[in-house]
Amino acid sequence: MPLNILVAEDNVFTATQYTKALEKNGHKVTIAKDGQECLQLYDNEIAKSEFNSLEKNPFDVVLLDNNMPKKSGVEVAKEILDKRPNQRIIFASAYDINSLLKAPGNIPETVEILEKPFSLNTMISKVQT
Amino acid sequence: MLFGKTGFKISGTVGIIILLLGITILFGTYQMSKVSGEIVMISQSYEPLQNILSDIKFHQSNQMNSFEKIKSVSQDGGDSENALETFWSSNVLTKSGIQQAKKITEASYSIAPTESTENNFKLIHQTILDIEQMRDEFEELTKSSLSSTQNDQFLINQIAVKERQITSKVDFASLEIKKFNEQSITVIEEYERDWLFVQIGIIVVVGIIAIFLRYFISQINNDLKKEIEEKTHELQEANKKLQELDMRKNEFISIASHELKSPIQPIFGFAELAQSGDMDQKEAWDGVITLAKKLQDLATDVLDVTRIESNRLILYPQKFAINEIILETTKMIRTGLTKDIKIIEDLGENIVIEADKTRIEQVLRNILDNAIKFTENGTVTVKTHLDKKAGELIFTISDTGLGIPEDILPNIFGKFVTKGHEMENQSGNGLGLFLCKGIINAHDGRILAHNNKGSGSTFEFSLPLILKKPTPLTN
Repeated sequence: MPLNILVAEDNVFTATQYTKALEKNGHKVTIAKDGQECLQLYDNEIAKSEFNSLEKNPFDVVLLDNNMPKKSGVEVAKEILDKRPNQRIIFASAYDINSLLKAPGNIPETVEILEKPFSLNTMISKVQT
Repeated sequence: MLFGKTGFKISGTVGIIILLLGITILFGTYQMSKVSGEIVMISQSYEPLQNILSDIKFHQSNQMNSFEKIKSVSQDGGDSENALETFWSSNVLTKSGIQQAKKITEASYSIAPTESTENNFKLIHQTILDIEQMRDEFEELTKSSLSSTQNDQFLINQIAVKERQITSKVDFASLEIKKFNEQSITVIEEYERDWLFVQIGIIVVVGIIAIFLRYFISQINNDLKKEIEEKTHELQEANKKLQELDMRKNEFISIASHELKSPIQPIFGFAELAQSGDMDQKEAWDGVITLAKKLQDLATDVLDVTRIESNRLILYPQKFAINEIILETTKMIRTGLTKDIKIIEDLGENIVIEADKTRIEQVLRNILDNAIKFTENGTVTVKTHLDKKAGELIFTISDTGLGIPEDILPNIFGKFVTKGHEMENQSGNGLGLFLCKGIINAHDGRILAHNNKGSGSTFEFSLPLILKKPTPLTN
């Protein structure tokens, strides 16, 4: 079943590759190039009448890079979960992932982790589970 | 060092106090033994001498009585045997008494502890000698009177006079001894009193020194406390700085390792997409090459950063004409230019400077790249100006772009500070300006940045015409 995916990734090459791989698998991809844009896009979707209810999430999956300009992935994840506690978020980061996991309160427990570098196929199967 | 000095001062002062007290006690003990010796000697000599003198007086008067008895009996024609016996025995006893007194006084003055006591005993000894002489004369007179049957009244009178003289001399000696004894006791008492004053004086002095020492030590203590507090504060500050440095270093390592890791993901991506045929082979290879180049540049920059931070940046100076380098650099940048930007060279005299050509090129390229990156359209101007007075060349690179955000400006030459800039993308690694500053500083030059009044920003740096330091150079 096709999924509606929001990707926040500042690396243009990586973002393009995600889009190519995900679209090939029939998913709809929206790209944000930094944390702020990501939240902006998320809010824009929420503002649409069909996503008025707290139960209805604007995207099926939000794929977040941690190290982004303007707002980090952790901050974005927290803000999204404040708005939609049921939102599925996948965190993709090369940035010291262990310390991110160990420090309590840093990332919400419901957030899934994808450690960089990963193959695009791994990413696809993670998104599709 | 300070502790050593203080310890020396304290131990020195305590030592002086102990020494003074010790001297006082020793001197006191010596004086006491001397005084008590004198008292013992006087008391040992005084009583026997007084006894002997009263014996002499007693026997003398016995002898005189027996003499008078002999005389009166012989006048009456009676027996004078008993009286004669008393006379001679008294004579012997008196003489032996005088000998004893002589011995005692002689012994006394020879062992007298003080000069005045010695003189006193000598005077008594002389009196005893006088008594002895009178006694001898008395004996002669009585002998001649007794041997004559005639009752020579003149001789008898002479004997009576001599007897009185002896008696008064003995009384005199007795009085003298009594006086000397009292005198010596007074002297000793006075001496003891004086000595007590001296002792009190010494104790007072020692007390004053102790009070002074107490004040002195508390002063030193306060100084020490202050110094320790200052040193502790300094150490705390140093520790803080070290912690900050450590934190910044860790941060650098963390960011650098992330930056080094981040191109790996898209390299995998390109390979995977090319493999699956989802991407054109050429596009994938171009991407891989771009990323590999980025990795290489980053690794070189990180290495340069560590060289600058550990003062190990080595310069390879050579003489070259500055304008040629500038023109070469701008030409290269123009070739890759994709924006509508005009690069203007406003160059001064084409002078020859001594510097590390490759490094200066790196600085120029870096600043020009930045100017173009943050300028959408307009101009980028490179200007040089020779400051003959200071012996340096001033470079000014200004643009008409976005300018530097105010929050970044103070740290613009730091590491990774431009990361997160609105216009920043993967083309920069956040180390360029840090390296520029390191390179310019290593050349003994200065670098600064400011925003223009209208739009854009200006970077200015100076280079001395001749390198002051010999090679290899470090900053």
